[in-house]
Amino acid sequence: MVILLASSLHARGVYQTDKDFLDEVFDNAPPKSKKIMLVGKLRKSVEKILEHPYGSLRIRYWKKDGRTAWILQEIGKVEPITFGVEIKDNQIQDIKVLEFREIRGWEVRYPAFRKQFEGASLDGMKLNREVDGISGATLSVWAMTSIAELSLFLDQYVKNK
Amino acid sequence: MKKIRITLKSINQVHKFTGIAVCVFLIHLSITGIFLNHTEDLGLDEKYTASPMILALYNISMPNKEESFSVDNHFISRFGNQVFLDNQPVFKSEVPIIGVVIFNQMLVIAIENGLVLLTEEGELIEKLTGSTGVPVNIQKLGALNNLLFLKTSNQVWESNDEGQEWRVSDSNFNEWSNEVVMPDEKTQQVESYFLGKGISLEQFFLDLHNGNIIKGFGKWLLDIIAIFLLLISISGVWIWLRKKRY
Repeated sequence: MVILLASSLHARGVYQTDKDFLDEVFDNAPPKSKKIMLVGKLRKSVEKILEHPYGSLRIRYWKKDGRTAWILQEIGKVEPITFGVEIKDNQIQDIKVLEFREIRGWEVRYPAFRKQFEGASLDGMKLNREVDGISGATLSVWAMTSIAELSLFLDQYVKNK
Repeated sequence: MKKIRITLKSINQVHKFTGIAVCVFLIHLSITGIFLNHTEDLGLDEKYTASPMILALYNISMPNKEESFSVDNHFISRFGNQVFLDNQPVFKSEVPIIGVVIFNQMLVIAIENGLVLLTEEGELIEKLTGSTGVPVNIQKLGALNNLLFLKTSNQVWESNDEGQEWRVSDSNFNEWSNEVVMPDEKTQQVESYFLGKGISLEQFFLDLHNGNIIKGFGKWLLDIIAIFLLLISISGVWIWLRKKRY
């Protein structure tokens, strides 16, 4: 019991700061951030992907050399999980858990699981591939999948803007 | 092997002991039972108690008030890790609120490591952190005309674009947002978020009656009383029959 509690508490926290994530994506020279206001049709599309409204009215992203980076949040079970997503050529290059606040479901941060998203792109509004779940981390897996779809959709949106 | 004899004297002692033991509980069960029998007549299902002692029995408590600020007739406060705009929960923050200002029809709330932008209705616009260029270790927040000001440990910063970009300020700005005392009336409004109406008296009497008011142990205590009541009944009949025989 004590071991389980200790491992749950240990799982909560910041795995990577926003700054470190952006430095990693853009080789220590991140560009200035840009922003999108979630209004009108865009807001409705985002709501359709997540099946609920996004937590804020404005989303920030970083774009340089055909690469975009997104720092987005999605509720796992109760608390928001912060994800960092790197996209190039309409495909996910990497997706990471930057901050985890839930007491279970942290297994989504492991590279072996995240590898499933590498190279994934959108087919309509959904990922073009099935993502294998993790027993006991279903809600975190759903959250990560939704964020992968949302970031790919927003990447297309800013390209077509 | 010695034979155990059940004598009238030993049964009398059992009867007396269990009688004394259950006496207080019988009074308790009778009184709470009468109240429960007349719940609707007494309106117990419509009356609520918010007594801290009773709420504590249900593990309902009010978190500590941490900070409160006032802007434009609104109160922004933090109770535990929940931040409120008046009595509406708006976001969670483990770290203290440093200051609050109204800027371009937005509420700008400074916490130690960033800024939180809300609409005047309390909808979250965005959280700005160090990765978006906001100075960290914020100690003060203020606004004047078209400029937002931040004070960090060794510098004053200013921004003219809603906190997107910051530069070191050379102005003598000194009108920082400061904490205020939140009126009791406003505090009570927030209390209702955590405490609701409280506990209905019907629920309270029911939990007193069935022992659920004492979590875990209460149920077993009532079981022990029930066994005592069985003993007192059996021993009573036994004594009556033995006396009748002689």
